[in-house]
Amino acid sequence: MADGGVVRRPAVPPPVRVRRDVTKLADNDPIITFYERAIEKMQEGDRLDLPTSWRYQAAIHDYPPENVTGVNERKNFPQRGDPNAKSSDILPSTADRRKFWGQCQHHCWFFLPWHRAYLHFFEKIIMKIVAAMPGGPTDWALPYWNYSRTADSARLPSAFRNPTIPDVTRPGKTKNNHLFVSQRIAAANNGSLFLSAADISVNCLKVTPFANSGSSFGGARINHHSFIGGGPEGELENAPHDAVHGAIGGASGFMGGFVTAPLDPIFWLHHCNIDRLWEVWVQRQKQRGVLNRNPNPLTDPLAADKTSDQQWLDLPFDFHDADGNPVTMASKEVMNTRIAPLSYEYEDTDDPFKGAA
Amino acid sequence: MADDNGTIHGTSDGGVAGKHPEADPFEFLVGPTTGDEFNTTQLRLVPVACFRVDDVRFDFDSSFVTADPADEKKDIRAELKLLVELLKDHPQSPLSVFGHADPVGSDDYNKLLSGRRATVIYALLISTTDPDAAVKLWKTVAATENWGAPQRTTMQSFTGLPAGTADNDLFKAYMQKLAPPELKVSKQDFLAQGADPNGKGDYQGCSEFNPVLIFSQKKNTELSKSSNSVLRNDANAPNRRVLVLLFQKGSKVDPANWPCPRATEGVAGCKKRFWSDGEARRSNRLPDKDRKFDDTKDTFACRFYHRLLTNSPCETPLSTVKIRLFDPQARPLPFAPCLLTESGKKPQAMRASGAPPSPAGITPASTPGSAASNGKEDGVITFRVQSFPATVNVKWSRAKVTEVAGAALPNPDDPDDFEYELNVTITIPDDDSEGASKSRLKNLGYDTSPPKPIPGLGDAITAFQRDYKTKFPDIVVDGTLNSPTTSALKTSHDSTDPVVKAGGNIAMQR
Repeated sequence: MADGGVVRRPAVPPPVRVRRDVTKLADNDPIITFYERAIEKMQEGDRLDLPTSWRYQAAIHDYPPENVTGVNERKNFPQRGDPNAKSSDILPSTADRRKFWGQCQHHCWFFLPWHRAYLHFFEKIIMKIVAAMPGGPTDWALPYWNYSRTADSARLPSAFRNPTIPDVTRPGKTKNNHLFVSQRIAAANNGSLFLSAADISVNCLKVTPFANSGSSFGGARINHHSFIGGGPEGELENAPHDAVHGAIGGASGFMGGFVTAPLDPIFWLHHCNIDRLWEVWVQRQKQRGVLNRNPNPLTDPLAADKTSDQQWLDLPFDFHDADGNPVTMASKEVMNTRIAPLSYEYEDTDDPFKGAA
Repeated sequence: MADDNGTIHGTSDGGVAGKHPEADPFEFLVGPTTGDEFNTTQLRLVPVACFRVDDVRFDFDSSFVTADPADEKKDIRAELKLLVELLKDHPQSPLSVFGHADPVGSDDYNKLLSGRRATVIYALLISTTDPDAAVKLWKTVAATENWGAPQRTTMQSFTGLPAGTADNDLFKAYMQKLAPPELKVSKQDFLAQGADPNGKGDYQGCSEFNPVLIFSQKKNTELSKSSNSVLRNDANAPNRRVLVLLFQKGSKVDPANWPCPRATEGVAGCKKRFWSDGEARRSNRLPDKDRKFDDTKDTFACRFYHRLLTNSPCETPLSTVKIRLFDPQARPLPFAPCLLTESGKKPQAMRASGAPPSPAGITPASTPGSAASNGKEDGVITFRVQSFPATVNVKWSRAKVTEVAGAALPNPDDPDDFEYELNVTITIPDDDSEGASKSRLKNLGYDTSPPKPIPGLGDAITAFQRDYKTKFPDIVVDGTLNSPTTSALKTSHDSTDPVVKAGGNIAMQR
């Protein structure tokens, strides 16, 4: 029998961390200062064998092929050497290098989910370091660089341009700025470079579908992981992704090469913005009532692609967690950023075109 | 079958239709006659089916029947459809309408209010066959209750008629749009067949004399505090209802012999029909336990009504569950699209209460996830159950900027559509036990044993204490369910009020 009456219950989703726009933050905002100090910590000892170290994290993206034995497709691709390599480096085991290094996905529809997972585990390493510092927040989140927001946001954020900064732990003193690297084109570091309108255009957001052998938002549909051989890249990867890499790194700067790009601290904020643009695209597709969004065998209008949709969702990638333990993550785990294990959202996912086609 | 409560035919968000149990066979006791005298006897009035419209279909403290242009399940059209089905099963069963008010306010005031609500429903039922009579009745009620701009606006936006439309035309169009064309009820289809010009026998108000729910002393003390008036009115909702009874085919009454006073008359006629202990029946309170008609069948003061409705499935109250939807910063979400799944049932797509977000450039009335909607009852979904489930699964999102009134409901087959998901615990013991506290924590987003760890959250109890300390300064942040924490938790949970958490001041854009 019924109880009658009324019960009232709240439904509050678990808290999420908010990834903030670096172009709206002051240089001394704790989000930036703790990021800088965490990088310093990751670089301690110049380690290459420690999964949570700065150099190891970069090697996950790519490392010179002679050290990543067995990844054949890399051998045919002109690669740079490791700029930090030295004879005293201790390398991880061959098996580990093959499994964890040189895993970055480009020119295919794994580009977006792989980099989302890559950013997630990097962010968790920083979070752990930051939370252990005196006064460190437990909900630190990676900021993003929205270079397309205003005219001035097309300049490299000032916090990344100065070789030295005030030392927040020793009032009155200065220290080396770990957000600065000299391996950028000079104009980026002296603040005179404004990324061109073409480089930071977000016209990619107007492209549907997610995956296609021709033009697509997310890249070519393939059924295996691929470093760069999959097919045509997605429009987001083309611009602003490639364009900003090239504009900041130039011919020889860190941002211009697969091996070196993650050694530049701005790499992570640039990719965070690329990740945000994926979310903007999804929200925009929803607002326009387009069902063809992220690959999903339940909603894919192209029946023949349901199998590959499922493969896209299920194929696992290898990473390490913040404690250095091996973990895997598949695309299906990164579809909704607001739920665990990701639990973040972006300050701004507004559609710049306001729903216009 | 004396304890049988009949069967429920259908329920909607604002009503129920049901069939009464078979009546006991009518036994005639007749005396022997010696000549050509006749024994005279009279058939009892036996209701065979019933139909109920709940309070949610009316404006508060008013007889105005509301309409939701966006969703016909959210206004009385849903119940009138139930009635159409019920009438198909019971052709030629005459009707009579009974309005009821809750115990707040005086008997006299509530007699007239319940009478007006009965009148409005009666008029709506005959509006397809006698629109002029229906409009006349509504106009009388409108004049008494001073319906004004808010009611006119609702009727104009629902009918599409311009401002300045004459009452006659506006009321007629509004009723026409609410009443389904298949509903063909005339004055002659009621119990007194319209014999009395003021509806005696056909529709009447029962004031607050027949409550289905009487709060316990403890609950009544709590709810009588002025700060709890919203909770009290919510809890009293089952008492505010309009019943339509369907009687055995061929039943007919003479208004002169009908016990109930007219809808516009005072309470004296009602009180004549009270049980000898009628006042006690309708007002006595137990110390800790609510009295319910459904349990003990002794809360109605009027014995005439009591006899008609004793085993009615329409006086078995359905329970109402209200869930308020928030964003992760604990800001309420008006107009949020959501998907509700009760265990073993099909997912139900719905929208939370509140205005849709305004288009860019216009000052938002209630932006999702903003402080602007904090004071109002925005972001609430309501559903009805026969008994409270342990948990329900809710998936929801912030309303999109492009969604305006009338926007489509979310697609239940597109899980990608929803930003948030929570298994909301409905049945929580009313105490400070660890289990109850943990259920409340989970509903507030702090799951103490989540399936996957939430980055940055840390210990769930500490996180709650940190976030809610601003509002409840006596909270001690120590990661344990200490007394100020359990108390703050219960207050915050049960009021479902928004709390501005740390970081909640960022204006999120989407």
